[in-house]
Amino acid sequence: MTISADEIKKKAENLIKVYHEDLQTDLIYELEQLVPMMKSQPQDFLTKVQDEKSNLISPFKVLNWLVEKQMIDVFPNVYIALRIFVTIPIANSEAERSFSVLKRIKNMYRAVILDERLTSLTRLAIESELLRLIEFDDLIHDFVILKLRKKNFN
Amino acid sequence: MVDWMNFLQKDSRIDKELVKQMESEIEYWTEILKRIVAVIRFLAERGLPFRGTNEVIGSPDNGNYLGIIELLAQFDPLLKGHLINYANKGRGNVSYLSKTICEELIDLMSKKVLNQIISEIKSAKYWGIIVDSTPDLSHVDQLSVIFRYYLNGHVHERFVCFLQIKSHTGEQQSIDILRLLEKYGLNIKDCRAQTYDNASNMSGKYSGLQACLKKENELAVYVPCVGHSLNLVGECSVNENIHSANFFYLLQNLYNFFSSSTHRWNILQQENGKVTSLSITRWSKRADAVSALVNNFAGIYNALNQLANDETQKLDTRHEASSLKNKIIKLENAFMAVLWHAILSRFDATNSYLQKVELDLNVATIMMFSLIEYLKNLRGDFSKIEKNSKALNTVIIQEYYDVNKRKITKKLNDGEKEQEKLSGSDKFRVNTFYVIVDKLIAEMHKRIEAYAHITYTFGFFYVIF
Repeated sequence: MTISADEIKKKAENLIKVYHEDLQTDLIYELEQLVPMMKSQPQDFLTKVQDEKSNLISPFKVLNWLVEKQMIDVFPNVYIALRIFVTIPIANSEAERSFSVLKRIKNMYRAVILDERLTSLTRLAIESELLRLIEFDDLIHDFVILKLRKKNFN
Repeated sequence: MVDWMNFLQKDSRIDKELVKQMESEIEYWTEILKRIVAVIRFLAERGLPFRGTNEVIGSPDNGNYLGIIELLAQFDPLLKGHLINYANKGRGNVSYLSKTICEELIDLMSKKVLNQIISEIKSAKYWGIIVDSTPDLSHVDQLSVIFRYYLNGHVHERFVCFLQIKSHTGEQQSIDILRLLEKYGLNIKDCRAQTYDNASNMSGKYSGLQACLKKENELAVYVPCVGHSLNLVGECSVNENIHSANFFYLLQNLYNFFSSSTHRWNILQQENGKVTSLSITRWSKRADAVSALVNNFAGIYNALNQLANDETQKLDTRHEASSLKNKIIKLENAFMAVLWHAILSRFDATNSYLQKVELDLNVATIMMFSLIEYLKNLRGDFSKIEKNSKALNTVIIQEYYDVNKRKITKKLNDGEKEQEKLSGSDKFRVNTFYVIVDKLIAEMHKRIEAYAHITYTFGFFYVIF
């Protein structure tokens, strides 16, 4: 299923109208260049940008492809449009996940936990992947200096 | 001048010894803190509790935090020395093992994670917001705030904080959210989407949270959560018809009956039967309960039979068992089991797929359309489903309940024709089967409608070549 160049143009114009603060009319020209370029890619390109289940072009994968090929400066408006699109959430499953963590942390035995601490602990538990990436050396250093100074002044 | 230069060199300063001591002390405490931070991180990322009933090193009740530090000290000479020299000294003595320091570090670490998230959101520029609330254990409503953004080839959905809300109105929640954004230095103008469940205080057209935020930024499109949408589709359709509502009550009753006593549960296990409770949160998880009945029908039936005929059981237990037994062998219920098994297994698989973070809306709507197609095909399969439900087990009654009912013959007046009355299979097909399937299809269409504006705007990206 593909649509004609005219239709792409019409749809792109509509997109520019909706997101007139983010997108410039250049989007139309960018698409006119990008679409034929994508068509002329080798066959394995298609499998690279397709969604596995629906076999449709996945904007997310096209976006990553543009980033990977370092072509975001060539297609700045396409880059913006795709980024806006993948930002749109479709489910609040992440919120539900946070509730599972909430139930684990604020449980029967820890019911008097303060709100601020609850947020802190939940954040650390949910974003543990981020927590692992963060270097704490600076933090530790600052902390030690702060405490030692306090101690010496006492 | 040279003297001055020399003076600036640390070695020749009058406080040379002090500086040296200070430096070695800094090093010592840094090493100790590294270990403490690692322990806190370990506990925090697993969501484990920190503190116990006391703070005495050496006591088994001192909680996970001190417990792990003690454990580490067994293998780490530095920490071991530290515990010997500093532990259990009481207030006023610095050991860095107190709850105050621990709390301070937790706070600092979570702020650091928060700052990382916020700086990522800022460099991503565009973000979407996901909000949902739940009452917690102490009956306080926790509003969970999550940001979605694209950065460096990944879509992230990051938890930012809980807000404790006093008021449920959309206006108040929007004030809270806007205040939060201001605190973090995020601009509402960069918001491009908002997702909530379909609760009216959030999704309301005029004063829901989405409408209030839209007033601030019209580009913040509202996308109802697809998972919740599927849930609502299901819930509306189940309660549309008495047979399906009864059927799900029956499933829950089966579970309640077996789970309320260990003896009954054992008998069920011996018969290789299995029952599952209906999930309250996720509708499509009822698939588990339905498939438990379909796949273990004989086991459940035999267990009920055994309990009903067991003379050592209390009378009301036997009565309950036999009435449940009589219910599950009814053709109506068997039909419902087979039908809902067919529907729910597809719904459940789709629902799980829709929870992937990197999924986009068009694929989601296409998946939902494919469910509609599936339902449409199912609509033509009445006789097949009927056949399968009759074949579910030999004990299934082979006729619908109303067939054996006494027929009331109406005396006809002149010129009046006898009304055509449906019965048995036809009646069930028209009044139950079609009603359920059609309601499902209609509800699906209604929910998909909510995404039409976005698929209209962005949909062409899927078909550009």
